[in-house]
Amino acid sequence: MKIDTQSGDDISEIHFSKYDVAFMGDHIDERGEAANKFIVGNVDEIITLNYLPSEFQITINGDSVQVYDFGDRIPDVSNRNILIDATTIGFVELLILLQTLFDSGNQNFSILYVEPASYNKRQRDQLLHYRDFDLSVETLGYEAIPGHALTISDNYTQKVIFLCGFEAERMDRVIEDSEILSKNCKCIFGMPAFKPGWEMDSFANNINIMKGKGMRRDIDFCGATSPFSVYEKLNKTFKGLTDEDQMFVVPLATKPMSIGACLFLASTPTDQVAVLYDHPQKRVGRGIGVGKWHLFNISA
Amino acid sequence: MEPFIYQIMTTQLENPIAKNRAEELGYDLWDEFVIPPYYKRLDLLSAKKPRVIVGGRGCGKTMLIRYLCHQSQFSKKRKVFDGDEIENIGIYWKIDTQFAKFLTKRGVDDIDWQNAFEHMTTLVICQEVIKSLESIAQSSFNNFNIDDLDNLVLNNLKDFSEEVPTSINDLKRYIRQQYNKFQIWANNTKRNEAPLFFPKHFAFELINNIKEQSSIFEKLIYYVYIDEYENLLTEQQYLINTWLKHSEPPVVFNIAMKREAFKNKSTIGNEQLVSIHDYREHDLESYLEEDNDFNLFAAEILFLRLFDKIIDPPIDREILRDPSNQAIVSRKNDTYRKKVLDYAKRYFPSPTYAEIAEEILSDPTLKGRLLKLIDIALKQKKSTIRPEEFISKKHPSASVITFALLNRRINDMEVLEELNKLKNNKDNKFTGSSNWIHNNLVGCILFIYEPLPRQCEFYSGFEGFCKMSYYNIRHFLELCNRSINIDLPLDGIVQYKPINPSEQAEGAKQASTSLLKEINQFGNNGTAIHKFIIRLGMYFAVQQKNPAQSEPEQNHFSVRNGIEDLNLKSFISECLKWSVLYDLKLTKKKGGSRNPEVEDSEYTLNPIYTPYFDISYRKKRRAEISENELRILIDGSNVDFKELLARKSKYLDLILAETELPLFQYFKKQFNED
Repeated sequence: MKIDTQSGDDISEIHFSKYDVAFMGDHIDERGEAANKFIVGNVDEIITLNYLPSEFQITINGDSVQVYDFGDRIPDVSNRNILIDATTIGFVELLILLQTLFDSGNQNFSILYVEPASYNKRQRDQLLHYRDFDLSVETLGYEAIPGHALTISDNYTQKVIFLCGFEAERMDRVIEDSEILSKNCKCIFGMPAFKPGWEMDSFANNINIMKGKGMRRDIDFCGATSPFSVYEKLNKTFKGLTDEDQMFVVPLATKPMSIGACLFLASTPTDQVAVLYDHPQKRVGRGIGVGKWHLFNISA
Repeated sequence: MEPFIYQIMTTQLENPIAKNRAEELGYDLWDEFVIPPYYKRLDLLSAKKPRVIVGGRGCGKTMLIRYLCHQSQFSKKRKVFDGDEIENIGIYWKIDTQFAKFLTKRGVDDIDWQNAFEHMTTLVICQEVIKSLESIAQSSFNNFNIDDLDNLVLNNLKDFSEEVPTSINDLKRYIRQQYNKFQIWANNTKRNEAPLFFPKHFAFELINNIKEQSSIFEKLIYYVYIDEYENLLTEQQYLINTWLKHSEPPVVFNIAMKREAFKNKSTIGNEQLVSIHDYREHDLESYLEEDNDFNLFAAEILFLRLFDKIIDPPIDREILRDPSNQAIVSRKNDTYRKKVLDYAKRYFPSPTYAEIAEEILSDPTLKGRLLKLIDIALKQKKSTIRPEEFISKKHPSASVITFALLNRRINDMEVLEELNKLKNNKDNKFTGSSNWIHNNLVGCILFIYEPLPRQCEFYSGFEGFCKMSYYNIRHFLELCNRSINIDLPLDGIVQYKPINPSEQAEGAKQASTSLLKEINQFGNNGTAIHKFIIRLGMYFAVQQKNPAQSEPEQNHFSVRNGIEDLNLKSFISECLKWSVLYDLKLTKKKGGSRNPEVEDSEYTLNPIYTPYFDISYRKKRRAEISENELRILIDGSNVDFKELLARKSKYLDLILAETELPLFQYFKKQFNED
C-alpha cells in the first residue's frame, strides 16, 4: 500500500482530483464545515454515513442498514474515484467503508482531513489541577464492531496496541473491564503532534495509568498526522504474530492515526486481528478554527 | 545495561503492593491469597446450591473466586492435598463483555442468539474442564497424572456429532476450532454459515464421561463462577438465571457481581429466581462489616505482600493460606489479633488529635493561621482582647478550637473564662458535659490545615487508612502503595520502614485524587456519577469551611421524606453499585408522631474521597437535604448549584474569592462561565 500525502495551511495548497463520490459524516465544528463546503462545491454525489452503536447498523443518508448489507446498499464503489472526508466521518464508519472498498477491489481513493486550529480544552492530567474536573467525553463503553471482533480470552496471547490520545481514561476502562494483561500492551503516541507541545498533554494524561498498570515495556511513536507510519507499525506487529497470538488495536488518538488503523484493519485478515472501541459521543464544537489541510491519496 | 539501573527497574516492577487488582496477579493465586475470615460462611464444601457473590469493586470478589478455581486449587505451588479437592472444581469465567454485547440484533432471531450464547458458554466450560484436568495432572495431587489424562477416551460426545474426537488432546483442538468458527460466524452472520450450536449438555456429557473413566472423579462437581454478571445483556442474564435455577450436579452455576446489580431475576420461562430457594447470596463486604474483621484482614494481606521486606513480620504465611477451621479460628485469637494490629499501627503510626493540635501551636505557619482566625473573630465581636490570650501552650486542643467558638454567639469573655477554668483544673465547657473539644477539634484542625499545601496528618494511621478504605481491600492497598516511597539503597536490599504520618497523609491525598478521577470510567453513567460526587464533595467542603464550625465533619446525607423520583432513585442505585456512596437504612417518622414510620436511607460518601475534599472521614454529622436539592446536585445547572451552596453557607463568596485550591478554583470557573 502506498499513501501519498499533501499538506498545507490552506485548501489552496492542496491539489485535488475530480471525484465521483464523496463519503462524509455530520459536521460539528468549523473545520468540518470547511471540509463540507469544499465537498458540496466539488463533488456531485455525496453520501453521509453514521454508525449506530448498540443497534450495529449504519445509516446511509439517513437510512439504516445492517453492516453486512452496507456494500450492497451504497452505489458501486469498485471502479470510481472516491473521496472520504475523515474530518467528519467517525472511526467505525471509516472502517466499514474502507472494508467495503478493499472487498470490492478498489484500493485507490483519497482521504481528506482538516486539523482544528486548537481544541476546546487542553486537558493535561496533572495531579490536583482544577482541569482534572473537566468532564471527559461520554462513551458507550467498549462494544465490538461487526466484522472486526474477537473475544479476549486466555486461550491466546493478546497483543494489544493502544493508539494513545488525550483521554487516557478510555484506555483505563478497557483494561479494567477485560482480561487484557496491561503489562503486555503497546502504547503508540502521536509525535510530532499536530502542534509542538500537544504531545506533552497526551503523555501527561496517560502516564499515571501506564505507570499504575505497569505498561512500561513497549512504547512507540509515530507522526500524529501520518496514517502510513501507524499502518506500518501495526503491520510489523501483525507479521510477528504466531498462531497463539491475537492482536487488538485500540484507536484513541488523532484521526490521521485512526485512518492508519482503519487501513490496516481493512486490509488484514480478520481471524487474528480485531479492534476494541468505546464509541464516544461526538462533542459539538470540540475543535476550534480551521488548521492544516491534509489529503492522503491511497493506492495499491 | 548497567547493573544499578537494572536493579532499580527490577525493584520497581516487583513493588509488592502496586498490583492491587486480582486480574494483574493471574489465575494461580495460591501464594498470594489470604483466606478471608468469612471463608467458612461461604459453605463451600457442603452447599450444592448456586452462590451469588456480591461486593463492591475492590472488596476481593475476583480474588476469592479465582482462588476457588482449578488454577489455584491445583497450583503447582501447592504441596499438600487432602484428597477431597477433586470433588469440587471451580471454573472462573469473566465473559468478554465487549464481545458478548454484540451477540444480539443484526438480523438474527433472539432464539438463535440464545443458542449461540449457550454454545459459547458450552465451549468455554469444555475448554476449562480440559484445562482443569491438566492442572490436576501437573499438580502434586497424587491420583491423576499426565498419563491418566492422555488415556482418557471420551466416546459419549459422538452422540452430538460424529466429528467430535475422543482423545483429550484432539478434543482440546476441536473445541478451539469450534470457538474460532463461532467467532467468524458472529462477525458476519449473513455471509458465514452458522456452526452447529452445542447445548450446555455437551459440556455435562463431557464431565459425565470423565467421571465414568476414573473412580477418583466419582463425586466430581464443577462450580462455574461467572464474574461481572451485571455487564451482560439482559437476555444473556435471563439465560444464566435459568441455568442457575436449574443447576444440578455435575455443573453448578454461580455468579459474582457488584452490590445493587442483581436486579434482573427473571428466567427464560418467566419464573423468578428466589433467594435461598434457588441460590445463596454472599455479600462479602457485609461479612467483613458484621464480624468486625476488616482491619485484621487488611493488615494480614499487607504483611503477606511485604513479608520479605519487613523486620519480624507478625504473621505466619502458611496459616494465612490454610483454609482449615483450626487455622481460621487461630487467627481470631485475641493475642494474635493484637500482635498484628499493633504491628500495623507501628508501621503506619499517626498522631492523636491532641498531638496534631500541639503541632499547630508549635509550627509557626499553622500557629500564625490560628492567631489570624482568632483575630478576625475578635474584630467581628469588636473585642479588645488580644488573640494570644486564647492560646494556651498547655492546652493545645482547647486553643485550636477557640476561633470557632468566637465565631459563634458565645461571648469572648466567656470563652476566655472557660479557658482559664480549664487551665486551673476547674469544671469547664471545653471538657465536661459540654465537651467543646470533643465536638469541634477535628473540624477545627481540618479548617486550619485546609488552605495550606501540606496535607493534614488526620489522614494518616493504620486505623485511619482502614476507615478511609471502608471494607475495600483495593483502596486500602492503594493508600499503602501511595504512602510507601521506596527508597532504593545502593546495596539493593529494599527494607520497608514505618512510614511517617506526613508521607501517609500525602499518599492518602494522592490515592484519593486518583480514585476520584477513576469514577469517570464507572459504567456508562461514569461522567454523571463523577459530576455528582464532585458536587457532593464540594457541598460538604463548603460546610467544612464555616469558621464557626457549627456543622463540622459532614460527609453523609439523607433525603427529607425519601426519594420518590424514579430517575433519582435509579441514579443513586447506580452510585451504590459503584460504591461511591454507601447506604444505611433508617427508620424515620414522616412529619410528626402520628404519621407512620417510613423506611429511609442515609447515604455516605465513600470515605476514600474525603482526603481530596479535605473533609472528615469520620461519620459524625448528617446533612438533610430535600429531593429537589439532590436533583440539583445530580444534574442541576451551575447556577442552581451555586444558589444551593449559597443557601447553605453565607461564606460561599468568600470561599470562592479567597481559596486557591483546585476544587474551589474549578467551581469558581464553572460558576463564572454560566
